[in-house]
Amino acid sequence: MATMAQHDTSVSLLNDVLRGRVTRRGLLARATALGLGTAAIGTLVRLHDTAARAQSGGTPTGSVTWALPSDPANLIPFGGVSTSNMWGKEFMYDSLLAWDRDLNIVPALAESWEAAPDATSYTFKLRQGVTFHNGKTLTAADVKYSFETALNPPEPGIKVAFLENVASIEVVDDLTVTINMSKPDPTLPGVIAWQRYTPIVPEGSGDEINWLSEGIGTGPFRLVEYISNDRVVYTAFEEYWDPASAPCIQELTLKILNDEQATVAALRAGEIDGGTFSADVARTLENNDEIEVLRGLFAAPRVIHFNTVNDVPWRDVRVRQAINKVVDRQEIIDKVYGGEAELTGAIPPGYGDWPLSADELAQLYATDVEAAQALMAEAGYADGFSVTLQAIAAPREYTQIAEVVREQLKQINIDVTVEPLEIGTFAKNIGEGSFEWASTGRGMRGDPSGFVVDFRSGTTLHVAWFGDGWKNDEIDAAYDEALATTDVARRHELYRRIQQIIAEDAVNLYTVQPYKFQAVRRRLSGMYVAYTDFNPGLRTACVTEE
Amino acid sequence: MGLFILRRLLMLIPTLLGMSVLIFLMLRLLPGDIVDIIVGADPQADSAARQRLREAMGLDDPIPVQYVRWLGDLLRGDPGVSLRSGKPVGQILWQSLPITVELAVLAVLMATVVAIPLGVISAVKRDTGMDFGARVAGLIGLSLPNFWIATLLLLFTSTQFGWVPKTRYISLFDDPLGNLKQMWLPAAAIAVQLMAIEMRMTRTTMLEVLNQDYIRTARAKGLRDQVVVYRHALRNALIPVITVIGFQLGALMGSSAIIEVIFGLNGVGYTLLQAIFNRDYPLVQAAVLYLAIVFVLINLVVDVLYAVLDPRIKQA
Repeated sequence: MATMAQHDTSVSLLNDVLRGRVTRRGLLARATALGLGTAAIGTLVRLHDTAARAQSGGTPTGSVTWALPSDPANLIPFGGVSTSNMWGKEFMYDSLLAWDRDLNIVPALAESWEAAPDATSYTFKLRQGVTFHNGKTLTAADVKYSFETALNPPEPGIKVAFLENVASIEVVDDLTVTINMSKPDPTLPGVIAWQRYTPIVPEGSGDEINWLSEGIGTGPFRLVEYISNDRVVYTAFEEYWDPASAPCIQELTLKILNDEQATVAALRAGEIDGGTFSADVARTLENNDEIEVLRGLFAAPRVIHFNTVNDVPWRDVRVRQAINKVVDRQEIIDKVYGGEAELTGAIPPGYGDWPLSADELAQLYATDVEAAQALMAEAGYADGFSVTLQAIAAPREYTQIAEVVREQLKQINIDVTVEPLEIGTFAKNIGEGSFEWASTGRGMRGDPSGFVVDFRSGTTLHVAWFGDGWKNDEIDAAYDEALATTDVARRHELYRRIQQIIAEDAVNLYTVQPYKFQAVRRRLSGMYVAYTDFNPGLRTACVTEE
Repeated sequence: MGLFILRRLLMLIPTLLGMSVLIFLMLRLLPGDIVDIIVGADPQADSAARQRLREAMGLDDPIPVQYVRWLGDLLRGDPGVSLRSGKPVGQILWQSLPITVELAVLAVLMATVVAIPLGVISAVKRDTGMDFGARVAGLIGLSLPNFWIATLLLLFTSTQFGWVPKTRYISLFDDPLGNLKQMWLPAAAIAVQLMAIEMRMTRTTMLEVLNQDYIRTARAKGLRDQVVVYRHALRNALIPVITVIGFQLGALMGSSAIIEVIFGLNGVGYTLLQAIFNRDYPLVQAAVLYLAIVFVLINLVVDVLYAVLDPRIKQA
């Protein structure tokens, strides 16, 4: 789409404006060249002035209300926290490392780090003079405390598998900390940069405050209050350690609004400044002069899981391949997502340079009904079989994908019953492996291995989902090798191979990766759709008074 | 009268006990528990970790043990803490209570102020154009679900006036005007249906009463029409209407959840709904018990009002 390409360049212009890298005259020239409307140019000029003010030692100004579609439930820093928990608390915490917008790992609280050649330990040099919200200065002891708490989180936290190889945390000196691994593990930097499971908190703070509703971190915003099912309020932290990404907004309110139509109404009326919307709703906002629609990929591959624990027809690879040849992903993209989605393998598109390319996927997913019918006949299932496909009931998309697939599979006589389930029931079934097929979505991972771990035999989910019904020695070997080497080129090769096998074998039916849409009022600038599914743009976004 | 109220209050105890057993069991019949929710639909945690968390939350004990422990705490005045937010359940409900009560009272008030006069007029001017108009309006109001009205109202005010009610709750006591500006729209969305119900009820009972002998007697005495309608007929016609209003008030304590969700008001209904999705047992149990208490108390008030309106009930 032409407008999207144009948008990308306006974003880079916007970034330059926000970082003060462009003069007022240069700005006008570039904006005109991009063919921006007067309203947009006006906003850019205002922004330019705001940014200039901020850089000349200006203080954060203005207040912003951002809509969250679900309650964080709590703000606990450690444990297997949910995405909505992260949305509620991400602004008050930092970790040792961070991702930039393209998922490159960059220093954060650690100004440098070094991995042992065999990836059995990592040494982090901490930044000097970082202050917590309570005035305390960051030391290695705080990092040790934070990681140890992450390994053994208080309830309702649950230990996360991503940190299972961390053996011990060693304070070398005041500003140096070494993390020892129980075995070589190249995934740690990615998991830390993800920030989801490794926030850094002051030593002992778990005994001083109630982490469920309070928090002390080093992040750009300080927590003011959290009211369940209502709002989380933050204020700018003026002693933030990184002047280059200091907060620009004075007061940030996260308002919980579950109803999308009501959220749109609030956005139109200026009651909120932005939020996340479905593709359909975002389209209705595109012609509104006061609102800008942002679009981007995020890690949420949609997938239909096949359970092969019992002796079922789809234990036969030919049956799975037949299914793969009949399911037309383009129809899912068009019918369920209005064209706003991409093909996906096990590692979703946009996840750095790890996923298979769109062309490769198009080839792997090419439809061929006749070949599929032949495969079914060969496997002895020419007359098909019946199967129940469980799907998350809300949001609707999982059920809609299931319905499209049901219709398509009629071509090879597979009789699918779609069973929409409330999320609690669905979560229980999928965790226990009590389903035949299940339509769900996967989330972000700190390291590519996280996207394919289910296919390594012997892991928890492999046992629950595949049992004795499916296992692949080549994947097992590749998976283990990729986790034992820090050679990035080799890891790329291995994960490519794993993804190819998963697609060729049709172990699971990966379908599509939808785009995520956010809409913001033009007074808010510098926001972008983040691949992580979090909202890091708000950390540095600016606001002008209308 | 005092004895009557006391007896009704004592009856609360077995009612609530029964309620508490029911809700306790029903919640646990729902598939999946809070640990499944915390771990999520995209699980990486192994079953040992899940088990440890269940133990820490006391969810692995047999259900009767859990029930007795919970009831004991409750009787000592401790309804527990939310499993998700770690906040005391009492505090959460206390925060959401004013919103729901205000929403319900305002909606019923709006509905009643319009519906009763309209119902009376409709009955008195039976089969005129006015009656017909009111009845059709009532039928339409009855058929429109309140969430649909709410969404339409919001879309209308946001596109036409660039205005929606503030999403941050303003307390009635801090800023009465701001509060009313915020609450009238959600209350109106709820009121439409209530209004239709009350209007039709008033009209029906008024028609019935107007055919009674004592009305004829009153007219025969030569009383003015207004006195007959308002002093003799309306008062008698109101008894069923008050039952309906009381029922509506009670029901609204929980059923306004959808409106609360749409307007982003964290009232009791909304809180309860979220708690059910989260399988946050202590919060659901406390919220449902609270709803039961309110319901019973409102019914009690309705019964007392009957007696005031109709002295025969008091004697019986």
